[in-house]
Amino acid sequence: MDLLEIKNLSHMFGGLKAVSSLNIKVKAKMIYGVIGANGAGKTTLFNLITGIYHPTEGQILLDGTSLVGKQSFEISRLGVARTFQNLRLFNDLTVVENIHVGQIYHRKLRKVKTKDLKAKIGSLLELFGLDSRAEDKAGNLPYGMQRKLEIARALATEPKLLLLDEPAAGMNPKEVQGLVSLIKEVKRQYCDITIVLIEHQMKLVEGLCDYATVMNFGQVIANGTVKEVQHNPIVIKAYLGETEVG
Amino acid sequence: MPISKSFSPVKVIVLLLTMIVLFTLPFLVSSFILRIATGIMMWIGLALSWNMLGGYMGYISFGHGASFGVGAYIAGMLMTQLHLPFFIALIIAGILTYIFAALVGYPTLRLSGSYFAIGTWAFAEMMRQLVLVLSVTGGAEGLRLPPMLNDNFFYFVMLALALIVFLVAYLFFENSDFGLKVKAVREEETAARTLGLNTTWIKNQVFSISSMFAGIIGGAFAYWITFIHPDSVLGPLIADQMVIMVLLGGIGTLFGPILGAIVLYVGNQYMLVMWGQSSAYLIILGFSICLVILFLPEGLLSLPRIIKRKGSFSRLIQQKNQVSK
Repeated sequence: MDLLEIKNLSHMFGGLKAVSSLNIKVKAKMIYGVIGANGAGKTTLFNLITGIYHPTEGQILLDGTSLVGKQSFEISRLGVARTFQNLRLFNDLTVVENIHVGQIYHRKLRKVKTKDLKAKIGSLLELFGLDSRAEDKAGNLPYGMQRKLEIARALATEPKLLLLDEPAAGMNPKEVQGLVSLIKEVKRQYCDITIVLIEHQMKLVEGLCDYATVMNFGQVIANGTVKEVQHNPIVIKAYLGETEVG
Repeated sequence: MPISKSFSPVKVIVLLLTMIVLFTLPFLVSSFILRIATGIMMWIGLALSWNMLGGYMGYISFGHGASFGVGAYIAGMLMTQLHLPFFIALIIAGILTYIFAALVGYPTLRLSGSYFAIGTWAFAEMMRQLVLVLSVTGGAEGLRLPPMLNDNFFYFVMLALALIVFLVAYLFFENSDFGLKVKAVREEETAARTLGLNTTWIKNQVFSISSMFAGIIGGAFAYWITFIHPDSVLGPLIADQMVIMVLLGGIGTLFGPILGAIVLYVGNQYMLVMWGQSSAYLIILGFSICLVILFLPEGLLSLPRIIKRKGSFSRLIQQKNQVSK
């Protein structure tokens, strides 16, 4: 069963076609990678899914429900959560408050008790190693922790689909290793969740993703398992160029 | 997460004493002082209402004076032309200002930052010109309300209004999920939307609620002063003073606007008494706001904290020197 289905999606910025006739199918419960060079249209794709931009053409279906034309908050309430490439935390609020904002709508939706919500925040803090900084302002956290907090905040909305926009940006190789095991742990604890992540670093994609799509200039140039994609001649051409440098 | 603040015995005693002083004040002081106290209460209410929008939500409005003036004119017209009793006129003024603000907020809240400030300021100026040319409002002649010469009455009205605004700020903006949503809009609107918050609705609510309080206070002011004129209730200085009071005391805090309102209003009245109607007030006002923004960006409320930090810093240096000796 496809959780996310994108059909023939296009988006124009003036005369520039940022995303063009894109087709992607993401099966439920998998970790899916979207790979591509800068400017390939990956973040635009996320902005289209989450309703920050409205597509010029095409269809986005979540569990069969169309997301096109819906506003960001409505899409979030349908079960899509995301992080941002350039962090967008509530800097002047504490770590706990940041996570709690993610829960506000969720509580109304399912009538969860306050006690359970607090327990939920506690388990998120523990999972992401933020418990010692719980009452600190988000803006005062070190960069790596801010990245983790953004993922924790997104998870607080109990999403079906989690979109991670370059979660490893600005991290050193050791931190990337930590992130890989963290995302695996998230997947283990939230077994029903589907994760789509945008990434440059092959190491992370290799370690995590079941399946990947490679984008270049707004178009899909390859689909398949990570191994298949890595050995696809078109991908190699797009990444490394075709003529030999003498 | 709403942080439950525990009430220590000291806090309760301070609160009780403040209440006792506030409620017995008319029987303790002269009518001159009482009129100043009434003015302080009015400005506390206004500064707190502006702080809901500018402080908690981060939308700096220079048009909040328009809500004050619109409320004053609606209450005034209801009392003079329909001969409604004061409290009913006040309630209707509040409801109509709320609706008025919701309509104004719809286009202006799409702007942000300085564009929002300019947009609201332009709207307020438009209202002043409109009231100046309409005949139902009395135009440039102003509007004369039935006089009611009871200082105690107005003191208690303004006190009650200030307390209500304070309670709303405390309950809904400081300690609730609603307040957290509002602060999330201030910190990162896009992120708030992707977490399921309908930011358009939240922004419009905050704008309308804060304007409603300004409108109700405006209505009470009209009856207190008995004569209103476009320049006296719709002039730019009304909104400017609210902004400056909040900045002076501490923006986005609960007690900052109160402190700012007291300091600025008392200073203003003092100058009025000493020098008469003088534009020196405006010069000092401008100069003091420059100083506050440069040296105390978090307002007077942060002063004790800064002094304490400086103190501990110099102590630290002393200790270090002793160790190195």
